[in-house]
Amino acid sequence: MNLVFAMTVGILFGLGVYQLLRRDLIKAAMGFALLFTAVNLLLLAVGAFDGTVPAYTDQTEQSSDPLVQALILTAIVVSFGSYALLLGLVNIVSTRFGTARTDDVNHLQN
Amino acid sequence: MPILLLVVGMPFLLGMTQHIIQRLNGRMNTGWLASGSMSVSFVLLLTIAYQPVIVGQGALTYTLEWLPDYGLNLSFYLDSLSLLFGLIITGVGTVVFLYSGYYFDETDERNRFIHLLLLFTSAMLWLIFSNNLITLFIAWELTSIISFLLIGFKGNKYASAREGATRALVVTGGGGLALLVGLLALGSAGGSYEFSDLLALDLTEHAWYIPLTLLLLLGAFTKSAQFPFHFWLPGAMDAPTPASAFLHSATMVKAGVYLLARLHPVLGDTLFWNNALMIVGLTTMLFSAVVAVRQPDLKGLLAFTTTSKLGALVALLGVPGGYGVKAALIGILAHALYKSALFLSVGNIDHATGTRLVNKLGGLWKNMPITGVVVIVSSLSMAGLPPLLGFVAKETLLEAFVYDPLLLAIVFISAALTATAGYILIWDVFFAKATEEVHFHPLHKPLEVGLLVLALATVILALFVTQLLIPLFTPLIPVEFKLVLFPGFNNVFFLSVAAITTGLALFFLRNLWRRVSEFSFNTISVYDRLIATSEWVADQVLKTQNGLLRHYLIVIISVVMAILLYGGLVQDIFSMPSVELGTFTLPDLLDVMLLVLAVGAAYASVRVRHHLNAALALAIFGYAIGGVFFVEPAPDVALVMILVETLATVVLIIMIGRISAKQRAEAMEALDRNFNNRAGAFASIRDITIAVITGVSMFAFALIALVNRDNRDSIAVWHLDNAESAVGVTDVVSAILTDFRGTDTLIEIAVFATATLGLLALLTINREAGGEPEDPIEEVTPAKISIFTPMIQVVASLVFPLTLIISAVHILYGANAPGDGFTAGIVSGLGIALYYVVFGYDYVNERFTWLRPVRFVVFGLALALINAVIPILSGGSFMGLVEYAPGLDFANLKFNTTLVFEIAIAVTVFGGVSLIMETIAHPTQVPFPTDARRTSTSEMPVIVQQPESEFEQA
Amino acid sequence: MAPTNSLILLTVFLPLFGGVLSLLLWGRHKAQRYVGFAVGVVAWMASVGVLWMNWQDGIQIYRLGGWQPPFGIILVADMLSSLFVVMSTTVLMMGLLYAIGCNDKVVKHPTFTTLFLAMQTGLVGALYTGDLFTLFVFMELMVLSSVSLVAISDNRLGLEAAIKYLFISSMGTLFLLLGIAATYSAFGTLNFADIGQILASSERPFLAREAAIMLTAAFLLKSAVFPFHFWQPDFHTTAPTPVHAVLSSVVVKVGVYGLIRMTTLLFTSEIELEIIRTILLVLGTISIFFGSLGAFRTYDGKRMLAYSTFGQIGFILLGIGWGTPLALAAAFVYAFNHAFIKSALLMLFGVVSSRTENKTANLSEVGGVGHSLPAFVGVLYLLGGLSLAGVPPMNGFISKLGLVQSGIDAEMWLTLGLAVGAGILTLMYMTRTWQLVFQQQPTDSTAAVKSYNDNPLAPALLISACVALGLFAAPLVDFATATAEQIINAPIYIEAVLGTESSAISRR
Repeated sequence: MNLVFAMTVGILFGLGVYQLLRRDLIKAAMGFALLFTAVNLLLLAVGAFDGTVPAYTDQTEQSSDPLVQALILTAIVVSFGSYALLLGLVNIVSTRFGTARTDDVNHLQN
Repeated sequence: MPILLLVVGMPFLLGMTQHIIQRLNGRMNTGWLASGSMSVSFVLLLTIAYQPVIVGQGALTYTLEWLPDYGLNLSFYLDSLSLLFGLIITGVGTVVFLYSGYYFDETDERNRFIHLLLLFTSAMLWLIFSNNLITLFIAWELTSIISFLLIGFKGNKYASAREGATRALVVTGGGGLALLVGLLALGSAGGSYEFSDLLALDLTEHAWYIPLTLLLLLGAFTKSAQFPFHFWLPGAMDAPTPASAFLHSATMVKAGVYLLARLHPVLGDTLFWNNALMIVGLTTMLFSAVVAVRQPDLKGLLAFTTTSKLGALVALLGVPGGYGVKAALIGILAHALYKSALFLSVGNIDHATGTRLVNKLGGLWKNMPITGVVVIVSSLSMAGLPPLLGFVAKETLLEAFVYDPLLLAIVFISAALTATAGYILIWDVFFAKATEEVHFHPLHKPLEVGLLVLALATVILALFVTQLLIPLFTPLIPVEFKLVLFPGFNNVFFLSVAAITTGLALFFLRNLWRRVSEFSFNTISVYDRLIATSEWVADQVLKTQNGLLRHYLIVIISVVMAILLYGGLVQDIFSMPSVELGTFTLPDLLDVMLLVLAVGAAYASVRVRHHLNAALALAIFGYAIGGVFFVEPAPDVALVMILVETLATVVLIIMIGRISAKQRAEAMEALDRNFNNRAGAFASIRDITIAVITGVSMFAFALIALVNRDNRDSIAVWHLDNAESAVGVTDVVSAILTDFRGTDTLIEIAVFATATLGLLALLTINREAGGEPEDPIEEVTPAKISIFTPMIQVVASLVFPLTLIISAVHILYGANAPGDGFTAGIVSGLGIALYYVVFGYDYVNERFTWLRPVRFVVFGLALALINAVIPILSGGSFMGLVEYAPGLDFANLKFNTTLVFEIAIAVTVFGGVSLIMETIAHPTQVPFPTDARRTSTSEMPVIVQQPESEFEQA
Repeated sequence: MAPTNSLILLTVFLPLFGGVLSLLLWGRHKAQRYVGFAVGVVAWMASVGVLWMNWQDGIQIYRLGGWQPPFGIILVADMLSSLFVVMSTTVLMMGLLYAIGCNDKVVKHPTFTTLFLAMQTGLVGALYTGDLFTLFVFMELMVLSSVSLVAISDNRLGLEAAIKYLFISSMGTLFLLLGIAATYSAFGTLNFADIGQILASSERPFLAREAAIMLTAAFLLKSAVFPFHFWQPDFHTTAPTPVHAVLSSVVVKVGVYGLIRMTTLLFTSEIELEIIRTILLVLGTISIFFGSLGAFRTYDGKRMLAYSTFGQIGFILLGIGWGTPLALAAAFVYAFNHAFIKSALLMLFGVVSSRTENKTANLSEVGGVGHSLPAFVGVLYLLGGLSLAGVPPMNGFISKLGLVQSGIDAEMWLTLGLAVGAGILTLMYMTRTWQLVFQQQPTDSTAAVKSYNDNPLAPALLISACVALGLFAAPLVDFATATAEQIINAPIYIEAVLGTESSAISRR
């Protein structure tokens, strides 16, 4: 099981990075959605103990690690915030600069 | 001893107060004031130094603490050497300041100049009197800076002045930086930053001797304009003439010589030292003398004779056994006197005739006899005729090199050429017939009279050289020496006579010589080439900033992954004790299926070309992951994950809808990997490689984490045990979120609110700026994609109240079941989102007049913060837990800070979500007034500037 | 256990309050900016108070929610964080002051003050927090607010810079999260002190090195060190002047702070320290090289200063990389002084460009603009430039002095040579721009067009601070030395946070 889980994480990271490097801003933004979800999975994986029941106080013996769940929740919200802002930027950039191609957004260089 | 402090500080204070004095008394000429103070300092120096230094041949020190941690003390050291320089500075200064008082025509120019010159004088005196290496450096750099300002004095008129100034600063200041390293190395080598301690040591055997000496010499040579750094000095002639006289002949350029003389006992007289000084010094001497004669500009001629003399001084300090020191000291004095006098005279000539070119001048004797006398005396002193101080200097100079024919030859030629320069100054300027009529207007008397003092000094010091100078020099000269005006008819005497006559011969052949010496070797070009090279390198460096985001990301990712693999992962993977991959139980089957679904969806979202389909695939992926979380089991996470995923998808789709189809089509074309052309093939292979590497390393990462996961002790255990007892909550996750790590959540909603506000700002900043889009965007805003079937509308309008109920439940019972304020906010926000999608922007705006998202955000944040502060009032701590209504038990709810916090979260998130929807659903889309794609970085884009533009909430 | 101190709380959360308050003043931008400045002043006072208490009676902490660390989260003000916070609050206060006198369009946007203050909260919180995950959240607050501020800048290319930065910094966020994951997996805790003592006591667990590397990467990215620097020149150049002054002087220092924490508290065991220090020295050297040359050759004044920040950070990293108490103290002094010099210079350039058409700092368009400004602006710029080049008696010289001394101690001749070279380049480009702007006569293409310019009060105050810090450097240097002595033995910090019985905290 561990193996499957780890492989999933790896594949998702790979796909995310590939998506991130597309020449298309929209796709690249989607790449971050993938990456952030992948990192949430990874956070779940580093939980201190592999529980079988939700983290409630009634049976703490087999319960899963509550702390990482809290961390993941926070991470989800935060990354959603930046994701929304990123989408907004993609949108405005594509309108103002008249292109949605990553490589065409290169006015700043020297 | 504080008198020394006064001597150093007085010019500074005067310079600082000078403008005020000028304001108080408008007609007053501060030149007199400054000159007076200089003469006072001169006398003061003599009086305090007479007993202990001249008679007692000792040294005075005076120390104030400044920055002891760095060994930086405000300490002074007065011995014969510094006394000699101090007297030169104050003495010459007296004349120069008087002169500057009348040199300028506009008063404010004069004041600015005297101001700077006074500051310089302070710095210079500080330099030579400082006992501390670091204060020496400080003063050193200060002199460089003020010299920069003086050279660029007319910088607002002439570009040449600016360039000369920068060049001088770069050379001297840069050398100064090397000097700093050298001095600090010297200090830590000698164990003290004070000269008074160092002079007792001999560091010629120290391990750092070569490097630190090299650095110090670099500093000294740059400052004293030694070959190949000499070019800055002729370039510095754009400075007003009094500055050239004071800084660039008498004082500042001698700072390097001073340093060498000062360090001679500590580091001097080794093979390295002697060779370095000899080679550099003699090269400078000969080279400058050769080019000096051909200079058309009088100041240029003087500048090159100056560098020549400086070369001689440096070389003298490198004569083995210290046999050159005597000549060096005499030379310093003699040169200071005659060269400053000559510069000032040239200033007079320039002032009177309006030109400095030799071939335009002539026959000035009848017009300006006093200047003539000064020039004759000084030039002959430079040429080395008796009975003048220059004669003594030249005698001792030749005497010092008599031991080696080759060196002697070099010195001889240079001396002869210097003499020629002197004759040119006298004859061509004052007696030769002028080629055309020389314009002349009379001068203020002080401009001429002041110079007589210097000329007189040249004579008197020569006549009483023995009585006056021997006591001063004795402690400085390591060898037996005698010093008289006329040593008798020995071969040295005949040598110097020969030099003088050769000079005369060369004077008659001067036009021939000018043509002969017209070889175009010029180290400025070397300097410029150096600059050009560094600029080329810089351009290569800047090419990496190529504006391509993907390249940046590629570099970053691959570097990090490389470090990660090399630095840790590989070892950890192979050093894992027993890789037991865990068991595979039945519930895992569902998990695996979900994971596979997730991977498939993710792959689809990567491969699918059309954006909307990709977005849908992404949504499926998100739901699958949510399912994984649910199975894991982490119900809270699963819930939030699914909700956020829904919201994200809505936002993504609307955003995609707002981007014009044309651009999306272009972007999609850019997606196609084309292996037929090499670049495309390379690019896609590179991307895939990076992706694979990242994936593999993350796989290893996760595997290590998972395999070593069990029975590790973690702070989470404490959370599990204490959740109920401490906060009375059974859902440990929400206990952590709202209590144990409540502040995280507080900041988290702040982040969320900030993001939404940023989005608002982003989309509203240019809303009122009109203009037609260059690509007309077909409006795909919700107003168009909304589906107007009555059925859906009914559903939608039913959904929203429902969501509100759900939210309420989440808030109230989130403590003991999955879900909390955040989910509540998202759920109700989704209700609003549905409205926007189904009915469109305008409808929602007129239907829900109460919906002012920013207010919700403000209210939520304020509530959260206040609620967080309240516990403090009741003696608790920030984000602490307080029961608001302890007695009240209604539907087993606890009315405590946690509940309020949940409500605040819900309100904020609801506000944020509806703010996002409200902003992105806004139909108008205003592009930039002008075409953005034509702007290149070289010309920054135009901005519609409305200083008083107002904003109102959209 | 150290005393709890609610001034820390004030420093962190007052700006957030202020942000909410200024939202209530929607549309009344003057009032908003005054509120912002007032908040800045109070926050500054509070931070100075915290610093003073530190100096008097040791490390100050605040347990948020009153939970015992490492289980709850905690704000820790030891000398290091207090020093960095005072630096930040001072510059932020000046930034807010500048914003009052600023004529840009963006400062009049109703969300400007809120975003700025949110950035302040994120920055200060990140410096004070003693918990890794809280650090992440605060940093995100900082990043998102600064991105929004740049995206709405008057310079419309700010949009492009913002999206590039958001992409790159999201990579940084990813690294940070990975680092947190590795840390939690290795140590089962997120509290700095706890991590430090576990790594010091027990045998090295798995993923510790990975944690060190990923965190290092995240912090290097935040402080724009080669090769993570690509976003920095664009992002800083296009930012509105008050924001730019803050970004390029103090916001980049968060990464520096994090690296100092890591090398002195979190990862004090040999292997990790070795890795981190190697990375710092190599990348720091390259950064100095890149930064100086870039600044020397770039086309835009603000961009020039951004590049120079890039190089200066490299110097600071060298100090951290050498790691001796002397070098660390030198690094603190360097960082502190640099914040003042750089922010002042940027504001001055902002004043200059506020005179030009379309507010550009492009060197081909600002020639001679200085003639239309009050004369003292030129003097200020020259002083600042010389200070940046490390010329005495400005405070930049003190920084350089300390660093060179510690370099000689470590016999790092190559690096010293590099320092000299960079110094010469700095001297060149600062004096060149000074002559260009304030000496050269304007051509008709570069004539000043605006009748108004931004208020130069804030930079004037900062420059005078620079002079004062140069002439009376002793207090700062003493403090830095004391700080270095405090942080090089981690037990002080650990004891202050976890209490003496910390080792006996039972987890099961």
